[in-house]
Amino acid sequence: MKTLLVLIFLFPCLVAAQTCLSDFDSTAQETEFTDNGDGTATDEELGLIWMRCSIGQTWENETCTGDGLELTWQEALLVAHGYEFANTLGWRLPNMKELASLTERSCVRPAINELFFPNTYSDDYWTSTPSVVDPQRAWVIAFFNSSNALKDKNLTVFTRLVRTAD
Amino acid sequence: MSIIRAGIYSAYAMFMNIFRLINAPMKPVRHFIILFFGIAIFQGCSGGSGGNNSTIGSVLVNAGADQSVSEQTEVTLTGQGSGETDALTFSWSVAPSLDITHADTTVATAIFTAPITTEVVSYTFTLTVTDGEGNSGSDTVEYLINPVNVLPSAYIEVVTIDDFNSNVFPAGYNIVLDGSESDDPDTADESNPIAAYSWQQTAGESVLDNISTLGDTLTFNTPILADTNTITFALTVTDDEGAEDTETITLNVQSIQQTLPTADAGLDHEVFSGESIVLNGLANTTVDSSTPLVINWVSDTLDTVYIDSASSIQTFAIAPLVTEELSLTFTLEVEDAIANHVEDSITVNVLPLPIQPLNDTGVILQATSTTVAEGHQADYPGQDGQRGQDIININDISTKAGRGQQGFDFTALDEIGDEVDDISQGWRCVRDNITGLIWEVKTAVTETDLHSSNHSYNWYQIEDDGEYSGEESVDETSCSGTNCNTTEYVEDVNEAGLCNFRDWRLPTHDELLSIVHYGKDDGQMVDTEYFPNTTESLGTEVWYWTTESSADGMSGTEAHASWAIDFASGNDNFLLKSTAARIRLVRAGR
Repeated sequence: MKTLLVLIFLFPCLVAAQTCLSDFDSTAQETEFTDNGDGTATDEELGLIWMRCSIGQTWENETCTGDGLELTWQEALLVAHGYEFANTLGWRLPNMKELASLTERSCVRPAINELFFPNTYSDDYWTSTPSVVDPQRAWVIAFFNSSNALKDKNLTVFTRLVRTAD
Repeated sequence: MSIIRAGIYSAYAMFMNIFRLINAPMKPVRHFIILFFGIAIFQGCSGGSGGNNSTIGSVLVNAGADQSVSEQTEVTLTGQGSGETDALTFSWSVAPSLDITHADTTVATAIFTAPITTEVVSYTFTLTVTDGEGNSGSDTVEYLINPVNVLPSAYIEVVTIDDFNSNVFPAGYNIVLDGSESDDPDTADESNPIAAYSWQQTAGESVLDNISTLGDTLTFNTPILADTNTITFALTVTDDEGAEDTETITLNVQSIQQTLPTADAGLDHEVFSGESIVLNGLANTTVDSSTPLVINWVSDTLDTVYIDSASSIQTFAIAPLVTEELSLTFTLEVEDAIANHVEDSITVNVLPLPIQPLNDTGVILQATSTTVAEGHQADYPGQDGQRGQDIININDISTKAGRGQQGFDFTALDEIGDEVDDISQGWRCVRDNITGLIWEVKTAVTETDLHSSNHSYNWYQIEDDGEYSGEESVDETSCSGTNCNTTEYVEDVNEAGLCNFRDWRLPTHDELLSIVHYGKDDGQMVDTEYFPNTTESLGTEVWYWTTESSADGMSGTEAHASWAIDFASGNDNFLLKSTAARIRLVRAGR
C-alpha cells in the first residue's frame, strides 16, 4: 500500500509537468466541473458536457488509458457523427469558442483542468470550425498553452467530443 | 548388412553362453577366455560394414542390429555389454544430433523420437559401455528414418451475407473464396503448411476468365443470369511432400429479378431544433441492368419536415421546432429499374435548444478538406456550419431579443444606457443578449475622445500577490490620458460613467472571444454593424487586451505576457505586457 501511494504521488511528476501562474488557485479546479461518474464532466455554467478522455483513449479506473487517435479534420467529424457514449447520442466536435472555454489559461503543458481531464495531450485538438478565409485550414486549440491556430485539414491531430446539456 | 550383423550377434550369443558356464568359480581363466573369444570373433567378421564391436580394455558392446523406422515414432534403443565388473554404465550418442532419453544408465535401454522428415535420413547411434574399472567399449548402429506423409486437407471458407441463407448470393456479387485455412498435419512449416493452391470451376456459368487461380483465395463475380443457378469450384492443395487434397464448394446464385438493391440510411444521431439532420445514405445494386436506382427519403412525422433533396442519396433535413424531445424516423427508400424495393431507417432525436450563455462562432459556410462554400457538405457531418445558433438562425427557428448577424443577438445602448431602436441615431454601448455582457463601442480612428480606436495601451494591472504588474507607461502607446495603460483606461472610463455604468473592466479571454465573428472573411472579425471602428488598422494585426496573464514563457515565476485577441484574424496570442494594443471594456454578464 505504501508503494502504491508513492507511485500515485510520483506519477504526475514524471509524466506531466503542468506549470501554472504563481497566483493560480488550484482549489477552484475541484468544483469547476461536475463529475457525471460515466467518463463525462459537465460545465454547468455553459451547459456543455465533455468527454473526459480524448478519442482513442478509454475511461477506466478514474483515468484515461491508451493512446489518443490523431485524425484528419474529416476523420474527426466522421468519428463524431452518431457517436454513442455514456448512453447518449448528440456527441460532436466542439466549435472554436466551446473548445477555447475548456482551456485552463492560467496553466501550460497541459493547459487544462487535469483533475477532470487526465492524460490530456499537450498538443492540438480539432474544433468543428473551418477557416472561411483559408479553404485548406480549420481551427485548432493547442492544449499546451491554450492558443488557437489554423491547421491544414489533412494534418492529424487529437479530438475531444462535447454535447450540449439538455 | 543386416545379415552380417546377425552373424556377429550369433557369435556374440555363443560367447555369452560360454561366458556364463565359466563364470564365478574360474575367475583367473575368465579373462583369458574373453580375450581369446573376442579376437576369434572379430577376426571372423572383419570387413563387415555394419557393427564395430570392439574390445578396448576388456569391455564388449553390442548396439543391436541396424533398423529402419518411421518419422515421428518413438523408438527404443537396446544393446548389451559386458566388462570386468557387473556394474556397467551405458551411454548413447548420435550423429546428426538428436534428443535421446536415457533414464537409467545402468542398462542400455533408451528412447528417441524419429524426427519429421520428407526424405530418408540416416542417424548413427553409438553405445559406449564403461565398467567399474574404467574400461570402456563401444558399438554403433544405424537407424534409417523414413518419411511417412499425412495428406493435407483442403478447406474453403466463404463469408455469407447478413440475412441471406448460407451459400446464397446475389447476381453480380463479388465473392472471395478463402482457402487459407487448409492445413497439413505433418508440415515442416507450421506458418505455411500448403505448398501450392490451385482453383478451378467445375460447374456452372464460367466466371474465372482472366482471374488468377493459384493463390490461397479466389475472387470473382457471380453470374448475372435470368434464372437462379449454381456454380461449383474445386480447390486442390499440395503439401510440401507432394501429396494433394481437393475440396469443392457449390454456391447458389440468385436470378436478376431476385437480386435486390441495398439501402443504408446511415447513423442515428441527435440534434437541436433548427440544426441540420444528416441524411447520408448508401444505395447499390450488383446488377448494372437494374440501374438507375430511384432514391426517396421520407420522414415519419405528420408535420412536414424539410428535406433538402429527398431524391438524393446524400442530403439533409432541418430539425423542426420542438418543445420537448422528439424521435423522428427517416427512411431511405430505394427502388431499382425492375421494381425491386428496399428501405432502411435511422432515428434522429430532436431536442429544443437550451438557453446557453455562449455565443456561436458566426460560421454558416460549410467546408470540405479543400473548399469552403455555401451548401450542405454530407461527407463532413456535424461541422460548425451544421450545428449551433448560427445555422438555427439561418433556418429561422430562433428568436432574438435584439438583432445581429447569424446567431449573434445584440442590442445597442445610448449614452445613458437606454436601448436604441434606430442605430442610425448613434449608440455608445452594446448589450449581448446571449452572454448578458455589455460592451464598450469604439469611436473612429479620426476621433480624439477617450474611446477612439486610434489609441493604444500597454498592459498594466497592479497585482497585490507578487505577480508581475507590467509597466506604468511605455513609449509606443498613445491615448488621451496621462499614462496609456489598461488600468488608467478602466479608471478613466468608469470616471466618465460610460452608458451610466461605473463597473467597466477588462474582459476575460472567453468574454472577448465571445464577440469574435469567425464567419467573416474581410479581416473584420466582429459584427461591424454593432461594433464599428474595430479593425481600422494600427497594422496588419489588431490586438485587443484581455485581463488574463499567460502562464507560457514566464520569467521565473513572473508572467510577463498577457492574452490578447487579433480582431483581423480571430487569432489569439500572449503579448508582452509592454506591447501597445487596443482595449474594449466590458461589464456585467449573466
